[in-house]
Amino acid sequence: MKSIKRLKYLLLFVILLGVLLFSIDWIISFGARHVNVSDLGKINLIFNHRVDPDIMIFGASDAEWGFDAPELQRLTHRTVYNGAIDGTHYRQLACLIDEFAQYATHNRAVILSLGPFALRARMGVREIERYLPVIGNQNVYESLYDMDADLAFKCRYIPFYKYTEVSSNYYRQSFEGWKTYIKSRRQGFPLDTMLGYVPDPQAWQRAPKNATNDASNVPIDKFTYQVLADLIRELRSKGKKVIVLVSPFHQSGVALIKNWEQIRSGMQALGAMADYYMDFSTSTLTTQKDYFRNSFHLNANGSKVFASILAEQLNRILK
Amino acid sequence: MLFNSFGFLVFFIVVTCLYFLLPNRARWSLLLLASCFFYMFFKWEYIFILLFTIAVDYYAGIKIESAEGVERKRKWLILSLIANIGVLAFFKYYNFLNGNISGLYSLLGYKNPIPYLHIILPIGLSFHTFQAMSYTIEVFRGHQNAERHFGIYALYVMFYPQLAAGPIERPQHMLPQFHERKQFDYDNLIIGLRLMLWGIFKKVVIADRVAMAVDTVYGDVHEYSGGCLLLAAILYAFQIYCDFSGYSDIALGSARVMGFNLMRNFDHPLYSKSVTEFWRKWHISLSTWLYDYLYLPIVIAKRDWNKFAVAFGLMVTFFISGLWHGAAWTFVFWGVLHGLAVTYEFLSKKPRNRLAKVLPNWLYSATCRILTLAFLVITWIFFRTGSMSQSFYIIKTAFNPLAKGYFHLMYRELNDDLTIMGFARWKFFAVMLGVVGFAVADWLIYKKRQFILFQVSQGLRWAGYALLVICIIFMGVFHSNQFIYFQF
Repeated sequence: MKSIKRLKYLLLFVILLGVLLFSIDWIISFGARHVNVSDLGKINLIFNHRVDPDIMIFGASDAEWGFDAPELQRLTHRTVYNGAIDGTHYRQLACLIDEFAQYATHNRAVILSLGPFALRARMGVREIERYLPVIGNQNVYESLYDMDADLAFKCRYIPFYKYTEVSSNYYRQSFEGWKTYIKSRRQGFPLDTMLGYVPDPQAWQRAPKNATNDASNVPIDKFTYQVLADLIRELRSKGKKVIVLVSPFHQSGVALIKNWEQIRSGMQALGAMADYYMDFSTSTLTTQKDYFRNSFHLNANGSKVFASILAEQLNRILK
Repeated sequence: MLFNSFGFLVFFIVVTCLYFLLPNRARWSLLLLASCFFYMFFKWEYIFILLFTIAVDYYAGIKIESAEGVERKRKWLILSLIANIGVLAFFKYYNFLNGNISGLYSLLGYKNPIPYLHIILPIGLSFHTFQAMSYTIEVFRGHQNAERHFGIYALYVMFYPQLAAGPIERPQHMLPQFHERKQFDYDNLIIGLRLMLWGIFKKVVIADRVAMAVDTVYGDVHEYSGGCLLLAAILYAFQIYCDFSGYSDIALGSARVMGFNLMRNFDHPLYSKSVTEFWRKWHISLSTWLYDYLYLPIVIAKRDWNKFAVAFGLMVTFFISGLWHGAAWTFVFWGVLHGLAVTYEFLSKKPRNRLAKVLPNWLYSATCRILTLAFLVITWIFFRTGSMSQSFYIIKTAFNPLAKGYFHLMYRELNDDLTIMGFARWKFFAVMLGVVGFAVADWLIYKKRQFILFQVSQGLRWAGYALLVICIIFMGVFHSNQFIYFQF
């Protein structure tokens, strides 16, 4: 009985500890929800309905580093935002695009950028920490749940579990989010100055090891293809012009992919469902190493040149 | 199910609550079921192999006890040992042996006809095999009565806190505990939870964070400078210590909450003044097992050899210890190096004692500690790499400070970031601060012989526990890092 009575001290400790942990959780989550830069910031901006440009870009790293949004904005005289997220496949991006399609009223065109690996099957959720501030959103939760039910459930419903999934970067960004909040709480939630674009100043380097290893054969995943087809349909139904764009990548990258023509025809088929199809995989850019950081990614220099080429075409389309 | 997983947290809470809610007579069955579930979480089919050896040992134990005459008893003991060692040899050493046979064949220009088998090592095989063997040996020696209750005997082998990586218990210590009536005890709960907390902290905050740096360097040793290799080797010493002692603390703690006392497996081994002392403080349950069942019988059998009997016993014991740790020549070499060191220390006892009298005590102690730690760091390189040539390359490079670029710790990553062993600079210094902080805390515990938070007021103590929980949740690394000793 004595032992049972002493349990109340332990219980009190657990309650106090719980209060402390929930407070820390609130502080971190609040900061993370107010991040407006980086991939985490893009997701926040979209789910806070703060981005509604004339031209919206979605995609993975090839788009994030390859579409110079400020330059495109300058050249097209239209608002542009780069909503691409590094390393993220369209299955995971779908909830983001879907949310954007629901609320964006000003937007006229959406570019779906397809890198050479965009149609490949990818398992699991990539960097769930970017989605944690908005995991309470049913659209996000269901999308993540489809990819990794166990992880999505635990991150949403089990207190503090999400912290087993985050890197120290998440805390740093949360701190930045607090700074943004304090600075701009009167103006609301500002966009970042680079408009989602991440310039990469690096000169040519070898391709990442995993990219070159995977490159020999890149089978098309039917499910990913279907997700993209559905997204195109949905965006068009909301009155947006959809541009399916094969992003430029260096010709050495083509040599690494055995079934590139097959992938390309898959992308063409998707392009046929969209309003416009642009293929930059054979553009003159792709022969010059100066414009690339590696076989699959433009560098800052290349993205500036690419922006001028793309802007010309966009100006023609969006007249 | 890993001790550092959310699944284990739920499992532990459910099993512990049920344990105290159930009447005493039903508790063994709950623990056995829980242990089966815990084991089957890794690879369920292997439960049948475990049940087979449990059944053989259970039956052999009874037969050994009831047999008349030493020869008859010995026959049953040998049967039990063959069953245990046979399973261990097949799962752990078949491919190793076959690989060596292939090497011999290819030297002679032939192809090895024996096939390579894709075998997954059952979790904790070396641990529970040794524990099972200690049972039949103790029954044979007459130090332990044969256990008549099959469920209790199965629980002795399978008790979940120590199933995956020990401590390797003795029947005299564990079997009576399973028969005892356990009452809920607040002190046991607090001691157990504290041990678990400290163990998880060591694993997820220190060991797994350090592992990120160590793995980066060991993943591509030729890319890194000698300074980096040396630092990685030193950090590995802390990683393996925090990893394994962390596991042991969680095991001891989770058993203690239910009122079971498992044997202590670590006693601050990194501060040992000799390799001999290190083996009294590192993986104590294995060291004492090898001492009782291997070293002592050898020394007694060869007692006519005088000092050489001890040397021979030590070398055989450490050879087996190396092999026990892993089916690779690097482990054997690691074991042999330790055997040589302990043998040297045994043979040089007198001159070293004379030196200790001449030198100031602090100087002698500090020198011994540094030399012992240096020896451990070097030998663990073989333990970590799994390749003799790579190990020698690391030693050659790491201990050549005059080489050009030796102190160049920064490494330029593909995305042009400057990193130190895979970390941004500030993160690297944070990790180093964590390691140094841990070493200081561990030293204080070692010196005071008491858990560090016991030396402060109650308020501070609870605040300390809260801080540990916060560090674990917000600073822990939880991704896929199995405990190092699970592979053995």
